Amino acid sequence: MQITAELSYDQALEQLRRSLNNPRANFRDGQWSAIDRLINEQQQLLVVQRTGWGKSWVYFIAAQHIRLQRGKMTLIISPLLALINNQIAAAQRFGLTAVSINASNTDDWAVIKARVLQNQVDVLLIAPERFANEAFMEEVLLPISQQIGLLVIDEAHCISDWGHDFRPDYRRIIQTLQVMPKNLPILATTATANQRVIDDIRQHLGTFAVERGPLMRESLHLQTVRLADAASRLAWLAHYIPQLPGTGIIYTLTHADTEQVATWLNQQAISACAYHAGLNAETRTEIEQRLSQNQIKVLVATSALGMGYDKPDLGFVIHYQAPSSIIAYYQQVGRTGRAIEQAYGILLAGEEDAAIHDYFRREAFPSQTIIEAVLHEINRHDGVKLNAILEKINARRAKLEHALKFLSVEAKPPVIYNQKKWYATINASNYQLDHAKIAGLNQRRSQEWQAIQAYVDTPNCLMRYLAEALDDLHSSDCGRCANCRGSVFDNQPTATLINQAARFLRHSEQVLEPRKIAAPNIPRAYRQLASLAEPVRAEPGRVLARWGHAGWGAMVSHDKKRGHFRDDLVAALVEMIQQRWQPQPCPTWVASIPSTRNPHLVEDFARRVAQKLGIPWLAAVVKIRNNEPQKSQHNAFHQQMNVLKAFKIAEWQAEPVLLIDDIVDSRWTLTIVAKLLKEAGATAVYPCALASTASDDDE
Amino acid sequence: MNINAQTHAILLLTTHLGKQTEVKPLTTSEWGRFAAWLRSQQFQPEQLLSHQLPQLLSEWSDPTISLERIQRLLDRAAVLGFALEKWQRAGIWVIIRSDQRYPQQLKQRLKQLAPPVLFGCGNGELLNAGGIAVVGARHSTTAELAWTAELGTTLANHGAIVVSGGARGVDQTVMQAALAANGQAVGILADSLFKTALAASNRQALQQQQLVLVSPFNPEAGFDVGNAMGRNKYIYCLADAAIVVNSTLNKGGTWHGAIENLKAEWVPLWVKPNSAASSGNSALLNQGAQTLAEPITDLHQLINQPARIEATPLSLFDLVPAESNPEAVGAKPTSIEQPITINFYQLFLDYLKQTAKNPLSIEQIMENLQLTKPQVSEWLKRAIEAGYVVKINKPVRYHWCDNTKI
Ligand SMILES: [Zn+2]
Repeated sequence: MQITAELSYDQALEQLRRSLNNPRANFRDGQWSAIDRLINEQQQLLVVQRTGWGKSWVYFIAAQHIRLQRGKMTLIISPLLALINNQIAAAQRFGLTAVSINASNTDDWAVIKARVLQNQVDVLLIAPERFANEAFMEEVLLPISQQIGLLVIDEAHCISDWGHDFRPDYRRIIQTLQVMPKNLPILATTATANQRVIDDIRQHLGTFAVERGPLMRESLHLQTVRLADAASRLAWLAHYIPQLPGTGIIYTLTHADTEQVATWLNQQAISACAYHAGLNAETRTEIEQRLSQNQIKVLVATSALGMGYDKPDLGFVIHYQAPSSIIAYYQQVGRTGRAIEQAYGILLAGEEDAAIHDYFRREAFPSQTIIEAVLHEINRHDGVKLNAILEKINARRAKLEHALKFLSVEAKPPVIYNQKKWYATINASNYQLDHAKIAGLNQRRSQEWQAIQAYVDTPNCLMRYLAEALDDLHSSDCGRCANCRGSVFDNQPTATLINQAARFLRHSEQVLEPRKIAAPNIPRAYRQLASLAEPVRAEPGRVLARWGHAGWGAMVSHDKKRGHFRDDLVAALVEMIQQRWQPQPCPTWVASIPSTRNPHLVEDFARRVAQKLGIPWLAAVVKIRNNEPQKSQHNAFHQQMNVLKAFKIAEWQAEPVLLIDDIVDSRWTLTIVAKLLKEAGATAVYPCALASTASDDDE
Repeated sequence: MNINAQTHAILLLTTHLGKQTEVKPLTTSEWGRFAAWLRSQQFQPEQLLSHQLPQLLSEWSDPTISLERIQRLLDRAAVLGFALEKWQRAGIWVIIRSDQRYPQQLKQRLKQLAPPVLFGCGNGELLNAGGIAVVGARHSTTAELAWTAELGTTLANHGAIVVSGGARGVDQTVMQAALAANGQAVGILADSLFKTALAASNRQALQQQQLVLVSPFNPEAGFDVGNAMGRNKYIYCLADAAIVVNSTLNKGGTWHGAIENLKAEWVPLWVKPNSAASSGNSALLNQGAQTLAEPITDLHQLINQPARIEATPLSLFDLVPAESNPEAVGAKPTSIEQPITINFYQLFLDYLKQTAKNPLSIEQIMENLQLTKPQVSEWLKRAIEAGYVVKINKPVRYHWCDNTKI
């Protein structure tokens, strides 16, 4: 009988030396102990060691043994997209065939699955979000799970409610670990976990043993800077980044900010790319590679940047806004300063940070209303598809998906996704949103936020503050941070640069793409009305600002409430049209979207824009049905249905027209009115709005 | 779902997991053998999950259960973990023989052959509350299904838990009827527990604790004749009495399940009267089942009976060649040419003496003897007056008085 043979220290060391092709290589502190517990005692183990400690040695040596002695494969769950090739090459040095299954190689899934089943794969790497993908779980993971002999979970602090924002994928991983038989060795690793997180992980995964090492990092220079307004922070970046060593990462909180900061830096001749969850996997991988190969100076990213992103010679990590917690901060700043002498971790704190985190906290959990509506709807059916739910529930698609995901990973889930449909389970009738738990979690997040604020303002050693906040008992003053030996950034950006940044913010209009496809499931009677064939589509338009944001956005929201848009906005819009947009063929007349609630607000503004452009405004668009406010319609189906049959065209010219609205959200109103104008005879329609409220999909 | 190491070990050893598994899980009897050995060594099943497994099993040897087979079964930890996570999200739980919720009747009646693991969804308390099993064919006539639905309603109204196999046709009809009448039901499934637990038709009953669905097989297993046959005995063993709606003579799951029950004498077996030649119902009466008297007015009459009664004559004339007791017949037919002189009343009494030790309804007597109601009523009246038979009420039935001699 083939029964797991023990792995001796000498054997393991020999394996390591052979794999690294270095006869003098030795295990680092804790590595052998982790291997020993994993293999010889078949333990389920949580290892807390700083980034760069060398956890891959542990799991590659263990994977070798599992393969040789038990003929099984190692499954690594890691939020890494980047450097898959590096991981695969590293595995190869250990004589292991590694492959990855991810969103960007769906075409290869069948082949990889077959190879796994034929025992040709030693290490399989997958991202945690695969766990939330039912097709992957059903068609790939469950069938191959019989080959798994060792399970590795990277960035395991995400398992804890304390460790991170709500991550449904990890919630499902916990639930899997909780029912996993004890004879499957499991290695969970993290570089950041304070005692609270460890306790929390152990509470979820009762039997896990813990190994932890020191977290201090020798080469990292930390600094914090409070700069309230966005213009000062942009100027700071443009001023100092050229002085920083090598390449780096700037973390922002929203998609829009990554784009804005990257655009600004490029204008300032600093090569930068934006990176966020809104980009497809292929683009993200490509951008990560450009940074890895030093083709760009800086990557501007949200926390979507793979937590496993691994570039040992990263020179700096700058936060454009404060992150949500010390754990998140250490996690992100810990990417730098591993294989180089000098590295910088700088936190710029702005005034909008608190509001953004407040928004994230509010959005983290679905509301009682949407949960009740979803459960009610699913309970009416014997399995129902998402689109059919969207017809019945007036909610944003992303919100609905979020609610469903949330519900499906609850401890006793009231809904389950099976064979492409949502079903209510036996637990649906007793389901209660756990308000106390949510309040508790929100309170913890507030505390975490307070802790990061205290970090920004502490007069003491910054590294020590982080280490102590993470319950690293080996910490002492670092002697390198701005508080230990003074700021290295003392020459301030010039007033000219700050003014330039302010102007940039005011010029950060966005392209407004009209909709091209009708919402799904529009009733037959409305299809003709709803269709968006090419001849009736609007041209790409512009929106001047983001509602409430730095630049014009704040002025737009202020004036909208007052009921009058000031001339500055007229001038800003006209300047944008004439100086930067310059649509061709040039519009020869102006139309505007009427609103029943404040009939003159937009018309008055559009008339003044027309006057300034020197072309006529026509009362072209007339409201024929008092529809609901468009902002109360939350998904494509409801938004399009709400505007159909709401307008008619009273007069027009067979010429290009500028179509003005004040605030744009779903773009359905502009899209449908543009269609009516084109059908009436306008030769081109250029939609244009003052501000966009389209929400950021937060990470 | 809180799964302990013992449950994990038993699941790993006995459950089919995934399609490509080459190694065969232990059968119920193999597991029984292995478990007995573990007990004799004072080992707990959960010790099988420790890294000391090799030392633990060094003394074990068995013709069909090799150490390698045990090792390879236990090596399926990951596949089991992922599957359990999926099942528990559908509200499915697992119990093993040592769990309190595990049906005691199964252990008592089947001993070593009780399934080592039961997967379930819904109100597990119902598993230890007995009930009336109702079995029948997947393909039944509209009339049979209408009768079945009425039976379900009646049983529910009497507070009986309906136990069925959850299959299409009779099983689902009786279960849904009972649930619709606010009754309770136990479905013992041979396949697709996962899917069935999510079906809208069962949802409300599951949510309101009226229903429990259990299966000894992998919740995602599809239909399998062997599993369906193997499952039948659990239906009988969980119940206190069983009713056969329809069955095919010598054929199919219902027939074999019923015969299995009669042989093992688990619970009293009642059949819906059916004289059609293809029906197995009359034949079951010959094997020791009893005719179901309608309407059902008292559950105890169904339950408090021997699990098998001596072969019952099919009709009056079956008694005719009773050579061992010619006097009782009164006259012996010698040849067809001779005038036949038979004392039909005496024959009627003989029939009652044999069959009416358990009370019979007038309908049952009519059915069995192929007589009209006025004729049976007339003779019964005479028999009561003579003290051979006692009439009992609620429902009206007739009972042979043992201490009388003809
Ligand atoms: Zn310091």
